[in-house]
Amino acid sequence: MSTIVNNRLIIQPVTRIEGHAKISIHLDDAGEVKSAQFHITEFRGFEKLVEGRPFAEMPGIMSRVCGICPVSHILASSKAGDMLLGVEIPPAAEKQRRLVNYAQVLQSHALSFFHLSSPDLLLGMDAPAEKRNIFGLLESDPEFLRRGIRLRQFGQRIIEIAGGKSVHPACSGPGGVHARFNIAQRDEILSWIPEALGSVAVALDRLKSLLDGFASEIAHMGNFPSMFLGTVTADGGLEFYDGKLRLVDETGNAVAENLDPREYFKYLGEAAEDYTFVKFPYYRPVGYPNGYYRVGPLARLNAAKFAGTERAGREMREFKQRGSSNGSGAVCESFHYHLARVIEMLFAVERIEELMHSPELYEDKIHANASLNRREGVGSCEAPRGTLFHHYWVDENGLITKADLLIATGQNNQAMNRTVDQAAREFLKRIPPGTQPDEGILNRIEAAIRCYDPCLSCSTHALGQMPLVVEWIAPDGEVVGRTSRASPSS
Amino acid sequence: MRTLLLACGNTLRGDDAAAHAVLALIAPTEYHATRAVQQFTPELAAEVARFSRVVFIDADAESKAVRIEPLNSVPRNLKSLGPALTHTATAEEVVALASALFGFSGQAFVCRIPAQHFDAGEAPAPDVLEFAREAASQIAGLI
Repeated sequence: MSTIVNNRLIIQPVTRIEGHAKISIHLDDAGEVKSAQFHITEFRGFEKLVEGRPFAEMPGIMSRVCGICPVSHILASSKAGDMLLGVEIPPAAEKQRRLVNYAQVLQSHALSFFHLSSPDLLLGMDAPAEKRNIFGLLESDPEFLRRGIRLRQFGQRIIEIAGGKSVHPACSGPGGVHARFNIAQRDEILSWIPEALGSVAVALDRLKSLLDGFASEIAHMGNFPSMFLGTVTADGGLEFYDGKLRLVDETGNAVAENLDPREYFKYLGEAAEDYTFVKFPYYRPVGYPNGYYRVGPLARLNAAKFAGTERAGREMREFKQRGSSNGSGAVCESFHYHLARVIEMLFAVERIEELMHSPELYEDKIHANASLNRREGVGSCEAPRGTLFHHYWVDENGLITKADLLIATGQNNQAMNRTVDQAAREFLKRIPPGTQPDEGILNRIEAAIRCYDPCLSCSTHALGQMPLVVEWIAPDGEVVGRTSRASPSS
Repeated sequence: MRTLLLACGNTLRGDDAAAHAVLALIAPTEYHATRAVQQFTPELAAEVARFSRVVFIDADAESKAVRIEPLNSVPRNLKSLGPALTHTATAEEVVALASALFGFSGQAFVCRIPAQHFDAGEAPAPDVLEFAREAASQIAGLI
């Protein structure tokens, strides 16, 4: 639904994202877009809730932050616990954690691409809202949808195999993992690989064939210079589980390299604004607000020098040719989060297959035993939506005295605000001032946000559905229009 | 006929664990398989299609008695289904996807268990467990 009252437009809810959100579009006296803001309107406060809990319980508690990426929270929390124990976990445990992390990225990206964004991409931004969903895809391209559902099922199945269940699995804790991986599990996972590789190839081919038809969206849905942050291997390769952080600018040149994620607080700060519950992380040496950066698939592919697997490596080299400086700079168009996401699915499937052939994965030792050895611990990994940090402080009994979570969607907060502003300015100027924007225009503003696949439940550590509202706001502050529609189930 | 018993609920949400309790009360047979999930999702469609019958079991705050009803009204052309399905799905949507994408042509039922309290808690209330026992008995008769 959308309405306009005295120069203020409200779009509510923003759909096909995870959580609750609102977009406010401020108009000037001429009725043109003056600015636009993306608000996160839910609050839960997980960091306060966990105070007093034993640190060993944290992975289980933190997995409840999100039903889409619980594994990411479990792994970051487990790694913070490893640091509190002062241990290096056994190779089998590390391999198993890597496995579930690849599976997590695969299933989450499959959900984002096939379920949430493909309706826009395959059916068109102007398709009727009642058709622009996976049931619309079912009518237009059932084989594509079948592949998407199966691909996500594959990722979920791996998590279930390793963690006992696909949502909120109990797979990892401080010191290691909870169960050995076995040959029967390997054989089941390997049986999925050919189909998974085929499905990602279909998705890649289809998406690349569609890009020419979205030139306007690519140019105006978050196309701006920024820095990009991602975890990389020691030699700069794409990495999801453990490594150093690399920050590059829009030219593709490194702003900072070999950053220790356990010291993120030394170089990443968090600012607050009064219109949203989500904080605004920034790179301290540059300061706020100019020190903002993007994370997630687009940022990871910009930050890494290469993928390190055959198929994804080939796609990543081609991807980098889309860079802003005649193929040598970073890819700055947020629309290409979609393409980066599919390339990362390919990378994840290839890495999963590699892991199945790693003898270390099947070793007996899966846990390093120790008691509390530190009072402060940090864990980080690459979640589907970007770099995730868990930072805990404990007392002498191992009880949490303070916790800080730096979430991927939060780190994209400023970029998402810029994206909404850019999209609103471009697409709303195509209609006469004061008139009601049509569904296609409103959907483009929403779709600009969906490029980031934001998980607002994660970023506010909140629970529930994620409808979004867009409001038009007049110069005097009065809400003059509002759009909302049925929210998705969560 | 091989049946999939699909239980939905959060075991940390009091009466919401009723469906999980039902599965625990049904003795294994060669005629059925069980699956316990926290929510129904589109991915279950592929799994449902491997069976000739599926029973969705869920706690229901609006039910007064245990009910097992066929999902005869599933719109096979999907046009009347909800427009905003994302990572979760209703039983009807799972069956519709199973039919349209994975060739499911079997029977589908939904078993609703009366429940009231969905706050944090590790077990259903005694009266809900009694409903779970009744549901298990009815489902055992079905399979």
